[in-house]
Amino acid sequence: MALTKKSSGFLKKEADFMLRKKYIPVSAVWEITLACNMNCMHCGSSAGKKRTNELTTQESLNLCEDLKKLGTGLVTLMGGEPFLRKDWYIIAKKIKELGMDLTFITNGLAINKEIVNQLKELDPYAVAISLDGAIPETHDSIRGYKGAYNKVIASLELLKKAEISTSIITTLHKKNVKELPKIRDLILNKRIAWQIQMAGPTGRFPKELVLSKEEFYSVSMFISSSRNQYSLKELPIMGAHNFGYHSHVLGPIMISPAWKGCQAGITNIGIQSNGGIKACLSMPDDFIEDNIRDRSLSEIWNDPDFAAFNRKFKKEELKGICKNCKYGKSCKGGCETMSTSLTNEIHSDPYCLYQIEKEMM
Amino acid sequence: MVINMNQNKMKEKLKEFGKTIELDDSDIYHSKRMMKTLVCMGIIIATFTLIGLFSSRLEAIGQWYAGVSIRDFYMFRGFF
Repeated sequence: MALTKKSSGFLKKEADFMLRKKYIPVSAVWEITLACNMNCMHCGSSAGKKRTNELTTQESLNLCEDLKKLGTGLVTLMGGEPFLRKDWYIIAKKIKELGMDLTFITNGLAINKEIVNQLKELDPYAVAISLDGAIPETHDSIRGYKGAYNKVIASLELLKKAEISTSIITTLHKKNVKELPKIRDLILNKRIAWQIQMAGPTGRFPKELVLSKEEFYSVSMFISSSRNQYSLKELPIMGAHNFGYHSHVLGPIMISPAWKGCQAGITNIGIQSNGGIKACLSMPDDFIEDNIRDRSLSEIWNDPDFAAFNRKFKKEELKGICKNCKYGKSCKGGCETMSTSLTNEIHSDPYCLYQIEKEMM
Repeated sequence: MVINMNQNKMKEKLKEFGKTIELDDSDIYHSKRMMKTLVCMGIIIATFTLIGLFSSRLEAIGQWYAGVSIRDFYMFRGFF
């Protein structure tokens, strides 16, 4: 049982984090452009047109070096649609040259043989494509683009043929939640990893389409069931950071054994295409803390007040249903993006398996 | 408390939840914790503990954090 060279690099970084007892942005999620060729109903950043003052190529390359200096091990490039940025390959190549690993999150529309060849050269950790339905009608209507589903399937095939590690990400809401078993049939035994996440009411996503707590719990049941029925080789499936937490009934939902609290500003950093810095890119724009055009990334990250909501968290700050919870100290109230978008408060994510079990079972 | 709950009542509740997204009986039945997943979880914890031991020179094992992301798939999927 040997760890891959890639994995051990991350783990070393995370070990360093523990040893030095200071914060290291092990994982950086970087929106390289807000431009997008789709119009998804659940888009958390209301992507479409690029921002007016996106980072230049040189600023982006400098940022890569700053990330490396801070100890970043993995950079996730996303958008908008990352492949719409003309210099995406230059930025990605720089990241690899600096010895950091690379993941892409894409809608798959722009992927063609040329991009696949470039990706093959880059050897990314994974290329994740969004797939929000099991049939064209569902995916296309959610994505606001006719033909999107067929394009995703074609892109997945191209990537698999090139032996590039490939994942799909499904963002769930009331319009697609019943299609989970069919999506599972579609990817079973195809060595495609599957991340399931829940759409929260951020960006242009309407609150009325957010899953109910019962539906949320049922999705967790589905993930747990799939992991009980299939090996990780047959179906590598997991819930994202806004799924799960402390169930006494279900099997593991996330891949790591236990939820250790939101990592925004602890091991994760979010970068906007105009240089805006957040502790986590998913968080609302109220949480933009600084801009790399005003201060260096190192100054921002090492500022004792950066991500204070998380770094300086005290159990007494738990709110709503999380107040007095026995898991509160390490859990910190679940996903802060879900918490703020659903309750307007931090440290009180209402979508918690443990709390649902307490309330409803 | 959930863990002390009557097994039949829990099964009924899981069925009720599962129906909201039209899960079939097999998915509802298999959703509960099983020995296999608990063992897998144990192996993952043990793996991380070992890595923690080697990497942190016997320090801070309990606080080891590995993050949750797509990359974890590629780290673990070869093991199972």
